[in-house]
Amino acid sequence: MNINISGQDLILAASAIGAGLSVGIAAIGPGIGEGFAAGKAVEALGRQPEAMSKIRTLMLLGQAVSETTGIYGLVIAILILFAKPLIG
Amino acid sequence: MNIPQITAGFSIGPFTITNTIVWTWLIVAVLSVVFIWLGHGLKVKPVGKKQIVAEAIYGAIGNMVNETMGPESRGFIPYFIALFSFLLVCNISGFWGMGIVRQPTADIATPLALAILTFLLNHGNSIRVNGIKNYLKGYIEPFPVLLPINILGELASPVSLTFRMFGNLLGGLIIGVLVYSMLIGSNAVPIWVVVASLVLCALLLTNQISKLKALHGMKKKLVMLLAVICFLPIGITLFIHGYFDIFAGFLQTYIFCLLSMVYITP
Repeated sequence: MNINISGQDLILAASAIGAGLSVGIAAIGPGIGEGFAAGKAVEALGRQPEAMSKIRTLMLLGQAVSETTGIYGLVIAILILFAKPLIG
Repeated sequence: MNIPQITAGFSIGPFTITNTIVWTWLIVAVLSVVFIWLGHGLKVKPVGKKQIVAEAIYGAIGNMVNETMGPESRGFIPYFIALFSFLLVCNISGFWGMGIVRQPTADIATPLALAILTFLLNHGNSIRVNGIKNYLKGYIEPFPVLLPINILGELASPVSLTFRMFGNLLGGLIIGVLVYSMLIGSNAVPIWVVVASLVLCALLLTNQISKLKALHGMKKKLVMLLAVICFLPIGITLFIHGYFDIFAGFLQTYIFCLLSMVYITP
């Protein structure tokens, strides 16, 4: 068996693994955070159903901010997969 | 897999005009015409459906601005109506030509430009309301040691606005293209192919209904199977378009406008 793996192939393989890891690991934090925000919003809604529009706005705001780190991971993965900055 | 690329069409002076910029111009032109038409000839006593639509749009965004920024910031309502409608049409434009047209907001230039606009408005409004002295004083609070951290924090807000919009839209685009290439084996299948299969499916279904009594056993089952096979890709792509273009597009538009309002409020 004769397998030739060049340096570029190695970089490509590592990039694929790295892209998957960057999205996967970056998704943990926002997932927990957004779920927590939604749960607390439901609690607040149970306590004060008349404040629905304000609670929804605040919940979406908080979720958008906590989602940012996940999106950074996604952008890094997209950069690794499509912009290929590591291959000259 | 072949994601629709940003291609350079032609250049005016030092600027290169890409296909997403041309698409942006088209959206801006259509929106301008629609809004000039909507705002033309308004009366105190509403007479037509046109004015009711215009007032509904103004009322919805005006309510949002009122709740988030306070009633003294009414001057920002037109800006946010323009921002909201532009971003909404941009995000939903992926629905019309998945695999061929790249949404302008999936090009980093569009969200970046709008985020820089928000950044300028934020600081301009802050200086206008608080005065230049109090504005500069805000950077050394609570301690002067925190000056670099405060500056970095101010610079991070347009970056996070940009990447939230760009990452969401590009992620949706890539997933949509992946699903299209999985279903049909080629990425460059636009929405009208799906519409054609929808029409075929509808024809089959109506045919089946009108000749329901004439068909028996194996034949009926075959027609049903064909209808289901036709419907399967439509169902999946409808779900993908509905979630990533309509729902996520609307949500990201809403969040972009909401965060811009929060940043701009001094």
